[in-house]
Amino acid sequence: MKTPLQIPIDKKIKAVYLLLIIHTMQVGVGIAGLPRFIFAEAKQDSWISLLLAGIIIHIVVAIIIFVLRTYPNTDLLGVLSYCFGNIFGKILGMIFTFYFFLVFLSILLNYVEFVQVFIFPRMPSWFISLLLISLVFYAVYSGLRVAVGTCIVFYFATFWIALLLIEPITMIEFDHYFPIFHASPTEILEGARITTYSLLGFELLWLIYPFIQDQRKIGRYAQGAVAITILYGLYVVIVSIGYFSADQLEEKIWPLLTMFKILSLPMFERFDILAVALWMMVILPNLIMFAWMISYSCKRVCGFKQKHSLVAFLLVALIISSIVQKRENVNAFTTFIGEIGFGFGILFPLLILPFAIFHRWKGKKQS
Amino acid sequence: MRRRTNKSKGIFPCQLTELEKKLHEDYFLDSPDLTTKQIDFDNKSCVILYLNHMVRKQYLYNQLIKPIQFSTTASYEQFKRIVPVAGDEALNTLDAIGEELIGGAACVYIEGEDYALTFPVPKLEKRNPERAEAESLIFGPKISFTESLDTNLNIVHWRMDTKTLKVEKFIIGNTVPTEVRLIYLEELANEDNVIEMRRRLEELSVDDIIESSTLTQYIEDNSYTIFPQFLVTELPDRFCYSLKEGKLGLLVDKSPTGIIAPINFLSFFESTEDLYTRWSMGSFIRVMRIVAMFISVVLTPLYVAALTFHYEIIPTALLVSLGHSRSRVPFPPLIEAFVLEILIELVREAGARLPTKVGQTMGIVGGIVIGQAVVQAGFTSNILIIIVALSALASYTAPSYLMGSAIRIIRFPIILLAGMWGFIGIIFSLSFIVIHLIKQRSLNRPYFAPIYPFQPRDVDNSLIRLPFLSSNKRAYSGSPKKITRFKKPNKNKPKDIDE
Repeated sequence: MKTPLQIPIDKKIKAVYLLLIIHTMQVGVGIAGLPRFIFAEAKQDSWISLLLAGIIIHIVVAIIIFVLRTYPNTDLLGVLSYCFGNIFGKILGMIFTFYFFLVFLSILLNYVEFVQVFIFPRMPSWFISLLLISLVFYAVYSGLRVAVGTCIVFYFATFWIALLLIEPITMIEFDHYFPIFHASPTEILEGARITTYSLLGFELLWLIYPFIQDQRKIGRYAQGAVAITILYGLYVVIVSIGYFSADQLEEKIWPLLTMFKILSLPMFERFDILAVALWMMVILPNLIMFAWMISYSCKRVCGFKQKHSLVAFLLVALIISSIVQKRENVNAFTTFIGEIGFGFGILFPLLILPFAIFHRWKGKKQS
Repeated sequence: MRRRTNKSKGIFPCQLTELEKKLHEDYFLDSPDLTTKQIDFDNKSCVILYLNHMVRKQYLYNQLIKPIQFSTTASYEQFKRIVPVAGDEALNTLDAIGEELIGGAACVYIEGEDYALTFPVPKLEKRNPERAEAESLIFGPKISFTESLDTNLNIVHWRMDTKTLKVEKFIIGNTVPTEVRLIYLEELANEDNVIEMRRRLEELSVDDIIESSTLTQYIEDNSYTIFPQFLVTELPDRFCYSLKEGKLGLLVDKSPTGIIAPINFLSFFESTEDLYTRWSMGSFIRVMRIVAMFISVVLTPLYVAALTFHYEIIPTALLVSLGHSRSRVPFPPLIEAFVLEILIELVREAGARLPTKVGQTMGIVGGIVIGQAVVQAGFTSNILIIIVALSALASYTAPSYLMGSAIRIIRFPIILLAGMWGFIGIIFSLSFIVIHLIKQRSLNRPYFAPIYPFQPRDVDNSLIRLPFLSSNKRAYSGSPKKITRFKKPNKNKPKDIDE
């Protein structure tokens, strides 16, 4: 596990793509509900929480890159086995894989929920997941390059949706932002904590690192991606706070999607239906990258063939999605993922940092 | 021109009648067309053999038989000296001679010698280059390739008067060998591409490649996709332009189209006409073609999805007229759309198969008469007629016939999915197509470039076109050896308004 990974050059991808991949990974299902989550804690000062969360994520990403650079060309599993030994490293790796699987599942279930609420109330859950899972399988089966390509193309196919908030923007009530600094510091911190796990997804760095062609530039692009995400989040949150009244915002489950409802084009009276369908293209990159992460770390930890683990876990996901039915369950599950995601995404890098510093210090001493 | 088979042993020296008999019985299977002409000299005699329908007779009599008849001595040296036909070959096996004769040569054999001499005097039926039919241009060169490789090579060389043009010869086909030429500019074409193409051509062992479009299906990267991975064109100017971009070209004997590889998805929506018109027009039309492709794929499915599941997205004013026109239609939108789409496909296919004059009549009967009647009979709504006609029209804007057909065909499954699961079905199928396109490769190069791998610098060579002096780079995604076409002229400092 400790041996540096040798990735053939034609399997590698350019660092620039990180800019869009990490951004699309962070913006997924989470962004649709983000304004409500933060608003519940920090009220009209949500944007402060978001900025704070942005700073935290920037620092965490910097730590992740620092740690990865400490060890010779390796990924999460390599780092784990350096720090905790082979056996513990493997166990932790398995736990991480399971966590990725849970995140995959939560994205899947949430999208199924979207479709059932907005478009087809009676379409069975297993069927919507089957559609998504078949696409995920098709993309991941062809390797990382196709998976990354799908992210990039789908980003271009959907980024314009955000520009459609123009109409809500014209209806913003500026009173909603005041008074500023009304929330107490604990509320703001709590908001920031909730935000961070809506914007998880940068864990991808742990695994994709050895696949990057020009590794020197990773920092710049990963941080750029986080910055784009934070700006995007700010945009959505600020528009939502301005557009909805406080009571409304608290009860709208997905404020972003609700805002699309008022949009009407000459040939298209209700845009939200198309937006929810198009949202499939927004979350597919997430599902695809998580599926890749799961199958790849399965290969690294247990030595399974990527093909086999991919098929196996997609089947499990399909079965679970057909069992979980109730809205409350999905909601509770998502919250739970958020809680543990905070641990895996934010706290884990902080935990591993001393090991990396120690390793570097030892290396320096030896030389 | 043929692949030499050196299986049979030499039969020489032999009697004249023996050679004649063996050729006649063993090689030509008692063909009535093998003609012999025996000429006797003082000490020995010689024979001239040829296939009656494969030689230019007048030429043969004047340039070959006549000089030999008046020759004083019978020796190959003497014959070579007095016969003005170039390209003689000394052969000593029956098969080799037989192959030459089929290729339109005449064989001369002097009694008792160790080998026979062949002179090429072939008669080839070919037509002259004419106006391009399938990919006709309004503006720009009109000439098109013909079925003869000689003519096509001649056109290419005439258009590309440069010494770096490299031509490699391949012969493919075990039963019916066909000549294939790999053409590229040595200073531009990427080495890897050339090696890969050479490998594919050399490894191809089939009995017969019928035509260049069938050759592409033998050597393409993925045979199971609907999208063409090599561009097949009948326009020499398109062919030569692609060579100048660093791509490889293939010309196949007996085929009126050239093959261009590697190619990417967006190139199928380019036409050389975009280069001949001004840049703004060219860019506009290019973007329009891509939009048209999108419309063609999405419009009918949107109609079906909206009317089956999502009534609420249709604006109220439109909904009234839609409802009015659909009120008499007894079928669900899915069936309605399928009936009309298939009708259009029928009209198209019938128009293509029938002779031109009848085809035009059929077009009118099919398009106008049936279209009117279908609406009046209450089979479909007026609005659907507009939508289907529009998307059929849009699919014909693709300059490549193969790509246009692919777009028309992928529409059917999308309509079906739209009819079953509404917008979810449409987005699902579009996502599938995008992933599928990203997956494809053309000669091991990414097919969906420059979108992925993302190459923003290629915009002026794919999506739009810029003035030539400011776009002096070849497409990065084509990976030519030299990116820069020419040095940009030095710009003078911009002057102030009234300086």
